[in-house]
Parts: sequence; C-alpha cells; structure tokens
Amino acid sequence: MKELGIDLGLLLSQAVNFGILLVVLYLILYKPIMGKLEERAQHIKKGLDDASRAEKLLAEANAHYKDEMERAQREAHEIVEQAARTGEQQRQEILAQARQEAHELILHAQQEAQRTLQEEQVALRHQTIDLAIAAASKLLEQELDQEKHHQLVESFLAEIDGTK
Amino acid sequence: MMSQGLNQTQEGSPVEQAQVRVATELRPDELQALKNTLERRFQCALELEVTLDPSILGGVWVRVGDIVIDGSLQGRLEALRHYLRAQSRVIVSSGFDLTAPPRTAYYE
Repeated sequence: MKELGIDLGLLLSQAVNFGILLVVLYLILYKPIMGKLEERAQHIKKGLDDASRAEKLLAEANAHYKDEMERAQREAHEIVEQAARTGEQQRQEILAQARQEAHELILHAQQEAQRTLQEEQVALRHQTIDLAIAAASKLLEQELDQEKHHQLVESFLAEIDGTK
Repeated sequence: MMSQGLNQTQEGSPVEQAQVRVATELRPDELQALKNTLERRFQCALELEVTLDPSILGGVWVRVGDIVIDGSLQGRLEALRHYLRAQSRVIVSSGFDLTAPPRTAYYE
C-alpha cells in the first residue's frame, strides 16, 4: 500500500470521517429536507384534493342552480299560464253575463213593446166597436118606425113565452 | 118620459110591481098582451108601470123585483158591445207576438 502511496491509517480515518460526515449530513440535512419535501407534497396533494372537491362542489352547485332556475322558470311559466287561463275564464264569464243581461233586456223590451202594442190594439178595437155601436144606435133610432117598434114588442113577448 | 099604467089585478092574488120601459107608446092590446105574458112568466099578478124611454131605441125592458128582462135594442147593442170587446181582447192577446217572425195576416 505504501508503494502505492496510500496511507492505510489515513485512509481509514478519512473513511471513518466520511462515514461520520454522511451520518451527520443524513441527520442534519437529508432527513429534515425529505420531511419537508414530504410535507410539501402532502400539502400540495391536499390542495389538489381540496381544489378537486371544490370543483366538484362548484359543479354540483352549478347543477343545483341550473335545476332551481329551470324549476323557477317552470313555476313562473305555470303561474303566467294559470293567470292567463284565469283571465280568459273571467273574460268569458263577464261576456256570458253581459250577453245574458243584454238578452234579458231585449226580451223585456220586446215583451213591454208587445204588451203596449196589444193594449193599443185593444183600445183601438174598443174605440172602433164603440163607434160602430154608436153608429148602429143612431141608425136604428132613425130607421125604426112605429110598425117595427110593434114587431119588436111582439118579438119580445114571443121570447118571454118561449123561455118560460 | 111619460108613463102609462095598467092596474088591472087578479082578485085574491098577490100583486107585484113591474117596471116597464118602452121606446114608443104601446097599444092597449100590446099592453094587455105584455101584462098577460109577464104574469104567466112570473106566475103572479102584476101591476105594470110603463115608462116611455126613447134611449132604449126599441123593444121592451122589464124589471120585476130583482129580476130584469132586457129585451131592448139598447140592451142588445150593449151585449153586442161587450161580446165584441171580449172577442177583440182574445184575438189580440192570442194573435200577435213581436218576437215571432212577421206574418202577412195577424187575424184570420
């Protein structure tokens, strides 16, 4: 070894020193650094998981929001349709009532006009009859002579005898 | 108005008063025939109180008690008036309807 220029004792002491250095470095640097790296990796992994969970929650929230919006739109649409139907129904009812009232008014007016016309016709006929009777009375007064008066008396007596 | 009377009564019978209205004066035979006829009709003796009333136009109007026999022309004209008035109301009420379609003749 000496021929090679290698001092075995020195080599051994340096090997021991190197080993000690390795142990020291392992204890002082490697282990804390690896712990820190592991901790960092865990932190990043947790952050990624949180982000993933947050994204999932966001998607769920979005879906829920979309469902709620659709439901609200459907309900709003139904409310509008229901209001339109109710309005149309009320319009039809009002129209029907107005038609009925108009019909009754017309019928009442027709009946009133008919009654008035009938009364006028009756009055006119009564006047005509009165005039005819008055004319007949005048005519009889002028036309009846003594002979016809006696015939009337005879006719009266015959009637009385006949109804006995 | 003038009155002419016939007061002959049948002996022993109750005598009723008969009011008679005529348009012209009756002959005695007519008066007697009227009395006889009315007595047969009412089956009692009657005392006629005849009144001239030109407003009855012709014929005879008689009242005995509550019974009136109207054989006057005026009475017949009044009856005719009432009949025609009643008929005209029936015709009008049954023959005309404003709500019905128009017809060419209403009173057939």
